[in-house]
Amino acid sequence: MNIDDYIFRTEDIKDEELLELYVESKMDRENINFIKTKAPLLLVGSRGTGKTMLLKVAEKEMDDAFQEERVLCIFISFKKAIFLETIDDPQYFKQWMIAKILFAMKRKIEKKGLQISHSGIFGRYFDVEELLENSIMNKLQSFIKILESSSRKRNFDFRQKIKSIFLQETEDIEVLNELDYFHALIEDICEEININRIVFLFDEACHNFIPSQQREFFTLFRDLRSSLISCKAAVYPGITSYGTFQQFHDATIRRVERDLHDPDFISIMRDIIRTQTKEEVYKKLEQHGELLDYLIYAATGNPRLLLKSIHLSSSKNFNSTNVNSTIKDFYRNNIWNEHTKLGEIYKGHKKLVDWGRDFLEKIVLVDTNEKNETRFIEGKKQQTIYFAIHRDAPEAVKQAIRILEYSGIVSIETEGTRVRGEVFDRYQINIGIILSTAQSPTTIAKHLVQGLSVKLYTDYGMKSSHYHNIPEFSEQQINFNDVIERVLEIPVDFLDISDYQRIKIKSVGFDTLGDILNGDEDDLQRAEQIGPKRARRIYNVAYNATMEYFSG
Amino acid sequence: MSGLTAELLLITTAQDLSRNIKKHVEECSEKISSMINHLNLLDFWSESLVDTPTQVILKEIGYDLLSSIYISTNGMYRNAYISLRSAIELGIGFFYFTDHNYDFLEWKRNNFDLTWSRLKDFDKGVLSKKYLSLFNDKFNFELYIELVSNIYRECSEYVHGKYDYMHSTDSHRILFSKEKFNEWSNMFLQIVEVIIVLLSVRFNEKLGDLDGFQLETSNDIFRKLGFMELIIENEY
Repeated sequence: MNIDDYIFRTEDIKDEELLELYVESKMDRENINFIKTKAPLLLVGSRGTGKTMLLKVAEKEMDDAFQEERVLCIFISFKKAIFLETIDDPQYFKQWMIAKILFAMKRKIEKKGLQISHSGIFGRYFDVEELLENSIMNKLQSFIKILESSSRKRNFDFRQKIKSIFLQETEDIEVLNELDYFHALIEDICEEININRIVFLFDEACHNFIPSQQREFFTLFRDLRSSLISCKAAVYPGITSYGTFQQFHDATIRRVERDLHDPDFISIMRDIIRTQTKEEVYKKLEQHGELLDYLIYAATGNPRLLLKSIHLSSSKNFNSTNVNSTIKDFYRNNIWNEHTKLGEIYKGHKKLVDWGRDFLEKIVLVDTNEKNETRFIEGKKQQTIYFAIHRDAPEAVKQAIRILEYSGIVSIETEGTRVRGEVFDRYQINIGIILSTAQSPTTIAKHLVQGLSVKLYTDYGMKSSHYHNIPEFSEQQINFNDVIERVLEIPVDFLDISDYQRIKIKSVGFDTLGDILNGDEDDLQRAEQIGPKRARRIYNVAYNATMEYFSG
Repeated sequence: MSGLTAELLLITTAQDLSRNIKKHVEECSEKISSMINHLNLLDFWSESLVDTPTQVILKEIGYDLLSSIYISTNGMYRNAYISLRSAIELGIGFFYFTDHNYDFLEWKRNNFDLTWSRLKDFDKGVLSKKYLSLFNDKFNFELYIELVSNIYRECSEYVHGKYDYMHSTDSHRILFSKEKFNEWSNMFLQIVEVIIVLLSVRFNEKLGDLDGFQLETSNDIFRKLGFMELIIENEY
């Protein structure tokens, strides 16, 4: 099977196919049911664990039930939430987020056919313009426009503009902010369209490495909540340990993970493979069930890693030699390459990324393997993939572990477990990584999995000697300017626009991405034959080129 | 005493038919909204191709599709398919004439007949690798040709009055049928979608004029039909 035939990311799945590819465990169903409730929720899981899938399935179920329940579900992805200009201006970031939320809402309302925003082709043949006067969608659209403009231009008079659409006749005695208008508009919309409740699903809710934006997001997450609105967000692990979040602890946290010890674990993972594999190929895999199960355990419950490693192995003969080399290739190289890349993009984190890798490979893995080998030789059953870090270990150490969590290399097993009177957090290492250190992974796999015991693990105390070379870390050290500098220097030649447009904007002095992003859409229009819409498009393309860099 | 005039007859029966419209609106509102959204996107393209001499054809397609909505919601499903076939023929024909100006000039004077076999011709037609690779070498033209061919074949069955596709074999009354409407509207949507796909490929430079919503609707269409290579990165 071609690699293009596998779908590794839920965003690439067509809506109709979503349910066909979805494989549900008991935990998944509980999570989905929780998503549909009124309570605020944080869905936590590393990359590839299936958070987006759960959100999308919940959205589909709510959509299908809309006629009866009148609960409108709106999915919003903040994947592209790195906003250069507003990085140090939280107010503008907030307005941008609200604009994005409203845009998604408007789209959903139109898609579901609940309201129509313009007369379009009907207006050409009939007199229908008057039907749109004072429509709620006009109000919504105007609000979005104002928020967008305000979030981009510093000297934009937000208050003045918003008065005109919300028809404030009295002078400002109270200073109303965007959220007040937002909630008022939501009430109007719900009344007009007969909506009982709105659920916002935030995907890629806050980028792990920009703390100021995380704070803004969580504040908004809390402030959006009302009798009409409930919020749910999918986040990466490590988020909840940020100080900023702890203030807003009324949200429930649920993990997306698959318990290795669950009796259905293997069958569910096999189903995930089966839905994405041609029947003949799957039969071939199933014939070597034991080998297939080793690959399944190696992925430690992460569907993305599972599908990627299966793809890698299915191109050759499915035998133990090849499965062994797959495990070694994938879990020694591929998975680490992605992790290391993080350090290249976020220079401020590079030292921690590298330290984390060294700590895991040279210390933790060595200690873990030693424990496992010793017991194997002594004929004891106990095996481990676990290690624990003291709660009060240096912040930098914990941050390094969080980055490993983000990559899916380790995952939290138990928070706050007591060991000899002290408090530790216990983690589990991705099984594939442990297997990949062996000469012949398939030989030790069975024994490892069958003997897993959380009682056996290596603990690293508050002042462990292994931390001695941890680099200094503080939030202030995250120097985005370095990354931004490099990106801003990218010449316009790399933008995905037509040659014609390129020549035009160069003619008015736009040579690099920086020129475009630091300028204004209006400036772009100085170029001949670049009107407002084209200028917007070019501006967006410049943004997206930047996104590519950050999302790596 | 009373009498029946043509006026009374027409008006009374039109009221009957408008009850069908009501039923459609009540039970198929999501499909109808989808069609309206699609049609508005097509209409936007028509308006923006103002410098293209063949623009009038695109407008006519919009009109065909718009009227087909009234025809089908009245309950006249087979006839609504006939409008759809006209739309797909003109739809592909639009691209032919856009890039074959001489034939277009002759056609305007009724001196040129555009046939489907011409449109499918591998050398001179639109539904050919030769033509479709001119604008975007990543475009999955094979998939496109297959989709359009299936659409045309299906619609033609209705037009040619193939026995199974006739209205009269089912019933004599003009009645609301959710099943028939859904089937028909799926075809409607597909036709607009394939035209939007080719518009996006052929007039790539105009994509900059679409606003965020229109871009997202276009992306949804690309995703639905399987043209992942056409998806446009978008701030939204």
